[in-house]
Amino acid sequence: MDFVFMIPNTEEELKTQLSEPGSFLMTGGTDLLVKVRIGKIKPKRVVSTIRIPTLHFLKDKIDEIVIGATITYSELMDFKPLIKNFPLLYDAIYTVGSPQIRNRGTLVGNVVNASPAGDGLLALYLLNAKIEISDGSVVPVEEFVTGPGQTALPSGEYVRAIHIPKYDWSVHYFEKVGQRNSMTISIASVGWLIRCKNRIIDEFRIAYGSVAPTVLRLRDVEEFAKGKHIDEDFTHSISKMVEERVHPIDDVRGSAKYRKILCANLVYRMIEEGTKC
Amino acid sequence: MQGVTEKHGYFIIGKEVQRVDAFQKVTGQAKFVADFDMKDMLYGVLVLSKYARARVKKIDVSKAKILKGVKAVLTYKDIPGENQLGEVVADMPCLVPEGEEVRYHGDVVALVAADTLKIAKSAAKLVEVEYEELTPILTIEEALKNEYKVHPNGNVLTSKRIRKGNIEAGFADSDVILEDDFYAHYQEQAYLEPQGILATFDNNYGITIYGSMQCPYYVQSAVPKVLGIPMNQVRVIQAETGGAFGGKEDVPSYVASQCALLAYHTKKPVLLVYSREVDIQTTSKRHPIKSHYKLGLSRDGKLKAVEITAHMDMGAYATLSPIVMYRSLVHAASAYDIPNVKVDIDGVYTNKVPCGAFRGFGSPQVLFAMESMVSEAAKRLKMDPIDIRMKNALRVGSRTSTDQVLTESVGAVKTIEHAVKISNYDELKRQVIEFNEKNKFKKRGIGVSHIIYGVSLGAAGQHLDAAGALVQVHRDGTINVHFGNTEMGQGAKTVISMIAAEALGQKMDKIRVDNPDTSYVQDSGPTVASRTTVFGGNAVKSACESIKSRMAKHFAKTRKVPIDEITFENGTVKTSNGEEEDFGKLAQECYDANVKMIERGWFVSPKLYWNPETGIGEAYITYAYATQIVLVEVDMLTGRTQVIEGYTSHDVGKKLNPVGLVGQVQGGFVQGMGYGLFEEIKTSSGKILTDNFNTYIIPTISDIPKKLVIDFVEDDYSQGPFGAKGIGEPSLMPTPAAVANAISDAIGRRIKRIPATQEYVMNLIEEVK
Repeated sequence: MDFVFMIPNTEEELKTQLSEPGSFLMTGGTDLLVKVRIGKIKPKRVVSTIRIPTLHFLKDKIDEIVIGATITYSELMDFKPLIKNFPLLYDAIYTVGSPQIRNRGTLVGNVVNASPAGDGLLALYLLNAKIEISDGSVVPVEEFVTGPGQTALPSGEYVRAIHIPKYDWSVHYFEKVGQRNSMTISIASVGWLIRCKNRIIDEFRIAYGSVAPTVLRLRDVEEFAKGKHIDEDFTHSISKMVEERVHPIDDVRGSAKYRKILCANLVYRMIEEGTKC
Repeated sequence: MQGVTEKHGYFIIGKEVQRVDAFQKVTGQAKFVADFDMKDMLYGVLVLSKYARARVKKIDVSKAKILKGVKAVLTYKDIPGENQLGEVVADMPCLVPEGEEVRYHGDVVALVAADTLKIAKSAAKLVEVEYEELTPILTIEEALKNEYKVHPNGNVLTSKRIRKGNIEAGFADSDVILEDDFYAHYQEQAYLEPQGILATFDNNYGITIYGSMQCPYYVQSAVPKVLGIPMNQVRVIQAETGGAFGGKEDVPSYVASQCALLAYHTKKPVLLVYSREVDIQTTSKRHPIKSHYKLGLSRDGKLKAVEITAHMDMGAYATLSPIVMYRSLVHAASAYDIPNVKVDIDGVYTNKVPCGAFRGFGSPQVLFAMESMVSEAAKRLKMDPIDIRMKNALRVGSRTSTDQVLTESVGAVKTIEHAVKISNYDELKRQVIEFNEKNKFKKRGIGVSHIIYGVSLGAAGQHLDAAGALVQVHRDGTINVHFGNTEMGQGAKTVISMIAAEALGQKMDKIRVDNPDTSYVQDSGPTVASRTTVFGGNAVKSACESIKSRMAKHFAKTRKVPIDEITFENGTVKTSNGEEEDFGKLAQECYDANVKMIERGWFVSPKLYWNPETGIGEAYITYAYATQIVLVEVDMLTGRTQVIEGYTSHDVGKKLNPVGLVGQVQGGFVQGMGYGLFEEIKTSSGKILTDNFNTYIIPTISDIPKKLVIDFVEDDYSQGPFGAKGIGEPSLMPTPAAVANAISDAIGRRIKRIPATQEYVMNLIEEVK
């Protein structure tokens, strides 16, 4: 379990230190340190971003907010424009771990960790967030995450920030089904965003977590929903479509069968939620 | 007490006091064994079996031994005494020998001690063990076939039975007969502090063991056997213990034997602290129990007959299973007056983690089944679940399922009455109906349970059922109390301090209760079975009363006042004529007059008659009773259950420490709720997958009900200190059953398995669709 722990003070130092083979980036460490302890990863060195001032920022622009790499969940939850513009993201990160974990953990860490169970990640998928990489490129989150624990982050680079475009939604919903009320990893999670009037859908986005190798946006379901009236028949049809499209696996938290049932059932929450438009 | 006036009002008993060990524990001053550090101390690590069942062909320690910093690598060949462990049946090797079988994924093959923990871990990986893999027995059903044997004598170690009345006649006399199968799974004790021992070697004395433990005397018996040295060379001192729940009853004997072996061979202090993963993988759990229940009742809800067969999965070794089974046996038919009772329980070996002691000791599994049956019967008979329990409840003069006549302290009916009152039961039922009419995807349900709990070790454990104390009043009036039972977070030191203060008439802050040390007090039995307040308390009380009696005599003689007019209260000694003295000053006077100010106390269990052939007799010295009503909400789309409200009434004989009692019941409720809902050990080929708190899910503060109302019934027990019985275990017993009954009520399907996980509940809901 021995490794060298580096705390660079500038992005330049960070880049130099990351270039060493066997280096792991730490931006919070709430997941990394757990994996190190159980021997799942064996880093030669761990490079923490925690003391780099240029990565610690929150920007509320006209058309987007920008979240710097070292912003913790707790800091995000205190950032008023977040709850105003992205209540879905707020709801999602509120379910992350415990206050202690949210004081350390970061949204950028959640993205780079690329777990299909990532709560913040699911919200970012729905919000069409973009990931700003240190080489200057900006990539949609869906392209950034390439598999469970895998990303398109080039070797030696790091994520600088997350850009989330602002957009008005009539309804937002996030739910994580875990084994208890807090300190829990999702068995399945769902989120949706709806623009609607008199219960008729104008625009719809839906995503699931923990039921595929990555967070799953269901584009054809989103397409299908356009123009539909939110009622029991509609949720019925969506539920069926969802059931066919998710491909969960068995793990220690729940079986594939149970996950499939959850995915199909959670859609029914829309009946109550739909009344909001 | 002779010579001194007995008062009816108590100055400390029944009062709200601060926990005596709170400050040290909250501020981090309390030292747990992992905090210990000594000069030249070594760190111990275990080499564990990698298979559920395999023959150990060869153990090669040569590579491990040559690693720099390694001080010992031990195998069975290095055991100077007996290579056998086991509190009841010595069926467990300390270190599995070559040629023999490892019997579960966690058997210990070798031990390592090194200068640092890191070196010890590296060395453990260098120990090469050659195995021949064998087919493991992983279920009760496979075990009963006896095709493969976990131990040579067959897979059923022992069976116990009750034959009361005439079971056939009872069913013939019944109007309604119900039958069903139930399963209660493992539960992990999940103490905050893992197992840990520090063993020190001392040429002048022998071996001194410090550790996290419930039963220092078990350790003091086990270690000398393994080391082949006399008992007077092993001294055991309990360290602060961060939770135990039965998991530190016999297990520390094994941990201490491993650690002491390393100290014995290296002649250096050795610290052996289990990681959470090693702890969960290797140490005993609550037994899985499969049971079949058949219940016969008259049309008006009177229980006529109950027939029960049950099998407990003991795992690879007996540990305490035979005595756990005894408690399962006696509690299988729960808290009712039933004329005809037939119970058969088998303890079955499998190649899995050994099961043993856990708060409730084999009873919550069967109480869950019985209480489910009683609620189902009520449903069938269109009776209220409260009414059916009231109709069959035990009263003074009733006979328990082992035909024991109850003569005193039977608060059962009162607990039912109180639970109904504190829950506003009729209104609660009305609200549930209203809620369920309005909500499609959320359903609420009410669950009732009513339980009995035998206090202390009972007829089967009488040989261990005594407890001692050594009390010394110093010349400044401060007091050391040594007793043979342990503080493990449950509040024993506080209640013992209160008992000593009341019995001596001294202030509580002048009393220090010391951690047990086997060199001071005679074997006082284990700190289990909700017995500490009654047994340790009585022993301390009697020692204190003897000293007080001598102090009173001295006071009467020197002040020339009648002895029966002297009172000791809260640090002051008084007579009715106004003569007054500070307790400490009187102590000084007594020293100056050579009065003996040290005394032993010894309390022995009242003798119980028991026939093991029929299961008839006085099973326990007395019983605690409880009734619980819980309100749950089940999410019909996910199968998740939230306990919203809990109402629980407990007959404790007499409230000694009211704050401590509430703490015990809160803790018991939450631990019972976790067992009822989501604490689940998952295994693969006998290996535990849920071996840390990331995957083994225990309740957090967000899961506890918004409302938990706790009530106590006081119905004095004449043999208890100031009338008290026990609370440690009865606090948990009603909850799994009440939660299961509430879910059944909410979803309209009977819960037959605990934990009733969301996935299990979802499957039941889907079956209805």
